[in-house]
Amino acid sequence: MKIFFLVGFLFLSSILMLISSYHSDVVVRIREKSYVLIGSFPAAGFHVKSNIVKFIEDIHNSRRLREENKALKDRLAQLIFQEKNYYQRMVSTNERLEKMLEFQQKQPYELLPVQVVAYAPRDYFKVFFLGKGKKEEIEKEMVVVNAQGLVGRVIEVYPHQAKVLTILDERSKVGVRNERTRDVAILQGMGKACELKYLLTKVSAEVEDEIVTSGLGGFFPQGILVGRISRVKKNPNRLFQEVEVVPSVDFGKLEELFVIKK
Amino acid sequence: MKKLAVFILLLGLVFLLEAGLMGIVSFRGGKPDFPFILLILWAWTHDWKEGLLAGFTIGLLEDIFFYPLLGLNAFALSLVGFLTSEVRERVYQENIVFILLMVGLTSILNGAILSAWLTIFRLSSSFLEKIVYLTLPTSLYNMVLVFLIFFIREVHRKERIYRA
Repeated sequence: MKIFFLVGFLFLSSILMLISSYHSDVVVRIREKSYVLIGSFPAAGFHVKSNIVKFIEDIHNSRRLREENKALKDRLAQLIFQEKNYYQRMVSTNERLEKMLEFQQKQPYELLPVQVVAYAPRDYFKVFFLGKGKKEEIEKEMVVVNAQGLVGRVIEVYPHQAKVLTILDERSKVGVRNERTRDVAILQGMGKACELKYLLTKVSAEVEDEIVTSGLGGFFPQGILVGRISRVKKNPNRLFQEVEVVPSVDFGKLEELFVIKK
Repeated sequence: MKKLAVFILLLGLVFLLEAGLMGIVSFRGGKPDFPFILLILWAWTHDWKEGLLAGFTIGLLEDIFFYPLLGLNAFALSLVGFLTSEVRERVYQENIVFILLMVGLTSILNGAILSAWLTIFRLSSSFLEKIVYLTLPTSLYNMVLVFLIFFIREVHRKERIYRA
């Protein structure tokens, strides 16, 4: 009796897996239909997280303020300290904004600024959520970049959120080109780095070679920096070489991004 | 009815935690699996039917919220819920060692099943890497959290006994 029920549930789960693997849009459609519930979880979660971070920062700040209060006896030292910190912050913010502006002006595409609002809870997939969606003209398959290079592409769109599949995800495949040799290959995510697939053993590939999007396939515009080769392993008995690429984007510090409008 | 309401409330809470606290509480690649912990604690205190049903429900919700395949977590968590309820009928429930062992082993089982299905459906190719870098730290994390929950519960219960 027990086993019968268990097998029944496992069978039902397997059927669901088979159906959703052949009709991959089923899951997306369910998510889109139940956006009110689905969308509220990452947003509410992010809100909770932000408040907790703010709370921790407040505790940390209160300690710092107490320490600074003691240092107020030396007024001159405090003024120099404040000025120095203020100046440095201004300079770094200015530099960051300048880079973003320069990047935006340099690109021949129309770029829509967006912000990351939540990351995926499980590390099985390298995805995150943007704070803009269908209502803000975000569409599926739009390409996401930042000043450092290619980030990924939009795979699901909700009214005010969009899910992005990063190039680190194992499902991600990008047509790329070695900038130095002009050889084309497919870049596939490996979780922490990426791998160049189908690069013939006989062609040249060296560490530090820049990899850019090839534009082949039509999804990704050509010429966007993807990363640099970090490891090359050639086996003369094999047709293709093993090439590891470290993305140019620092995925641990994603903040301001751009979506390339079609 | 009351039990169902409690379950739904807890379900909402764990999914909120799951979606929100991940970046903060990450440890060596592992993150606590709150829905999984809810399932284990639920199954540990209920019979096999409720364990199985809770596993399937939590799993299906996880699939809808976070995964590209329906039924992936439903499969793994149905089995975990069933096994947990079955094991608790055969051991002394209040022994913390048993529940911790159960959490550790079922976390690994859950991770192995997920990684296997992901590999089969070609959504991931690094089965062993997932086990070593995701499943094991998550399993450890889950055990620590369950230990804390049991510890707090035990302290609370002793206080009540002393008061009585």
